[in-house]
Amino acid sequence: MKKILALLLAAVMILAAACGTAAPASNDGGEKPAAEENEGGEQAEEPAAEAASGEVHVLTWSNAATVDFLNSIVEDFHAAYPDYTLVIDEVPSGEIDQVIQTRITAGNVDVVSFQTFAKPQEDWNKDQIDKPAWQQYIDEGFLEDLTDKEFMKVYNQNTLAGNEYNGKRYSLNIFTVAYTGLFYNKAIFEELGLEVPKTWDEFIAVCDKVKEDGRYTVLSAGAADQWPLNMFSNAIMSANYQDGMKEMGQKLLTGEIKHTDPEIMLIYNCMEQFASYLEPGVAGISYSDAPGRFALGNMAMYADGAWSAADIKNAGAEFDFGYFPLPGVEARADGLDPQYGIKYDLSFAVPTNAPVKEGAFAFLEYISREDVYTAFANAVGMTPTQDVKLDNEFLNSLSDGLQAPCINAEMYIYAPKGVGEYGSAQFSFLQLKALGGPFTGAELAEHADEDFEAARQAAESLND
Amino acid sequence: MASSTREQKKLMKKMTKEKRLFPVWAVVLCMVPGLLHYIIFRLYPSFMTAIYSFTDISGLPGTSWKFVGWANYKEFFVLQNTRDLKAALGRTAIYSVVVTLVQNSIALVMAVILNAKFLRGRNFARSIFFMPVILGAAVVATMWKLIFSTPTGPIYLLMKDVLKIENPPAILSSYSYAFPAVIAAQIWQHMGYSMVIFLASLQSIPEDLYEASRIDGASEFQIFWRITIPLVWSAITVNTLLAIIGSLQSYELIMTITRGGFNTATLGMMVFATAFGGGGATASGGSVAGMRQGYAAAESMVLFAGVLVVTIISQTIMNKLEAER
Repeated sequence: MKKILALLLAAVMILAAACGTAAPASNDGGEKPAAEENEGGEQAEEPAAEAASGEVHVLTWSNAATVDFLNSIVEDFHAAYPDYTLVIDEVPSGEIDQVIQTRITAGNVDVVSFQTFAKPQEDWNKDQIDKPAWQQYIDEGFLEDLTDKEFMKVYNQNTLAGNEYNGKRYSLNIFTVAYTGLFYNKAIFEELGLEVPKTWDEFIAVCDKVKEDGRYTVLSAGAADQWPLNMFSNAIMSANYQDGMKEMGQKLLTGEIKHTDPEIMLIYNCMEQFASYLEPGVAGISYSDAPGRFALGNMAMYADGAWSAADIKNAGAEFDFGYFPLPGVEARADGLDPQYGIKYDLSFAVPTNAPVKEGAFAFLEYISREDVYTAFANAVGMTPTQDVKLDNEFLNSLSDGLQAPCINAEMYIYAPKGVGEYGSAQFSFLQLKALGGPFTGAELAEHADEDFEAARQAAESLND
Repeated sequence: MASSTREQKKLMKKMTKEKRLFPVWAVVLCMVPGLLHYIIFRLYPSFMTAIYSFTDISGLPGTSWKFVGWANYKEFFVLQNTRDLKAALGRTAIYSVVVTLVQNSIALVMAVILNAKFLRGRNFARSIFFMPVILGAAVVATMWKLIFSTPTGPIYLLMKDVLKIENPPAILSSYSYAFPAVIAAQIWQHMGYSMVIFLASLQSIPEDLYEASRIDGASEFQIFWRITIPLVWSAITVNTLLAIIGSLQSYELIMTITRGGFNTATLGMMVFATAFGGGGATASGGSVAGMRQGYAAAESMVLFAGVLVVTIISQTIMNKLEAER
């Protein structure tokens, strides 16, 4: 009896182990890019068979307006393509890079969302920076070449060309976005007799006036997440140097100019002034809470990208608000009022190992249809890359600042690999004393230079 | 004499055999699942991590990779900003020491209290204190982020409205307070685990010992110090080692609460960031692109070496203390 009991027990345990450890022999995508040469590495596997029907998984980050719209077209998409069902997989913005990697590795995603293909590793910087993730995906054959797809032809070709890599288009750039501006409460501006500022001095005067009045918060941001506020150090660069930041960013990386040089110190000075008007405790305000706080109506200005207009409205803003580009210290040479810095936002790409690849293409075709696309652009409030007429009042109000937009400085500012904390946080607001950080602007610039130099020397010694 | 020893051994073997509930082969078979799990999910990945640390593998399956010798280790020790690497190692040490000491001290006190027979609802209380252990890091992080949030979180309001601090700091965005806050969250989450081990040990102490010592006039502190502590020493050793190893490798809460920013990046966090990317997650607090699993594997091996050395030293010290007692 004891032996039988032991035998049974052992059998159950082994069975449990087998169930727990055996990999499912599924063929739903598997893991594999296009064939690549392997130098002593793994043999690239053959592509998994693509399903002709099934769920089309679209991975995107948490932008409420985008996610809501994509969810709203699930039924219509299914009606247009009965073989496919759209599933929107939403992840927090800060985790999108990791999730894209794990989902592509797992081979269980059909469409992934990128922002922009910026700062590639090239000959001039190959010793100083690592390849960005998007470049690794393309170089390793993980993203489909969409260049010749029919749905690409309905978009503004000049706009799409700006996000090419090696002469090919690996993503469908759905929108661009203006994001170097400030939301402002029109009622408060009117009550205090304020005008939209056209120069930096006027901007400071507006801040002072609101501060003196004392009834309203002057300026806020979702600073706890860091990037929402750091967008504005880039905004200050773009406002002052426009596309000239491309050259300056490269020279900062190579050491031809220093952070302590006067033209860069101007940026730090403006950052410190900007920081001095941010509301107390701003460093702890999360990005998800920030639009709702502006929507309460007691804040004069709110620093965020134009994409948050929909979130502000959805948060119940019962007042008129507008958006103006952050001005530079000097008036623009072309005589125009301040212009926005822009970037590509929301670009859809299709992994080569997508389990329902044809469904992914069907989704891109569907989203590119004029009526669907127009509704999408109206819903999210971003600048369209198709030539469509929008009825989004807020979006149309940005046109004055989009006469001569520049690519925002964010796309041009590098940090060398292995760089120290202060070099890495070279233009981080939360490093400033004004916001609880350890340094003044001048001190941060000095430390950033030291870290850049140390990283350059380390890279040289590593290459020797 | 020799024959007597042989007979004794034979007798022992016979007695042991008679006392066995199951035959040896059944015991071995029952161990198979655990062994398989250990080999497949622990031993094999560890071995492969050591191999990968000498490659430039990205982590994307099917892509090319090659052996690069010691290049990853050279990069770790040469390219990494020395000041920041030292800071990260220092933080890792502080994290480990504070978590180990505070977590186990609180857990022992809580275990003694919750072991008291006169305490009503102690089983319920034990469950409550153990509950954080079963929560995921994301849940714990969300909760602590809410507790520390500005300007509506309870801690912020406490500082502002009760303690009358004019401009309370945003704890999780503070270069001074974010790290202690993450440590507090780590202790809060894992204290219940240590407590349960202490409770099990406390329950094995015979009640007679306490009664006898009370009759002899020992104070409660003397009973605790002279009877409880020596008899739970093996549990203290186990908990100390578990806490040291766990905290040295820990990155989940740091990743989910601060993403390694605001002076909170530890070595474990750096490994994660190198492999999977992450803003503010390097030793430098800066963002990294990720997808360098070969380099991350080298960082893991450095971490492993550190954990191994610390564990051996700790175990030696704890064993010595146990022997002295």
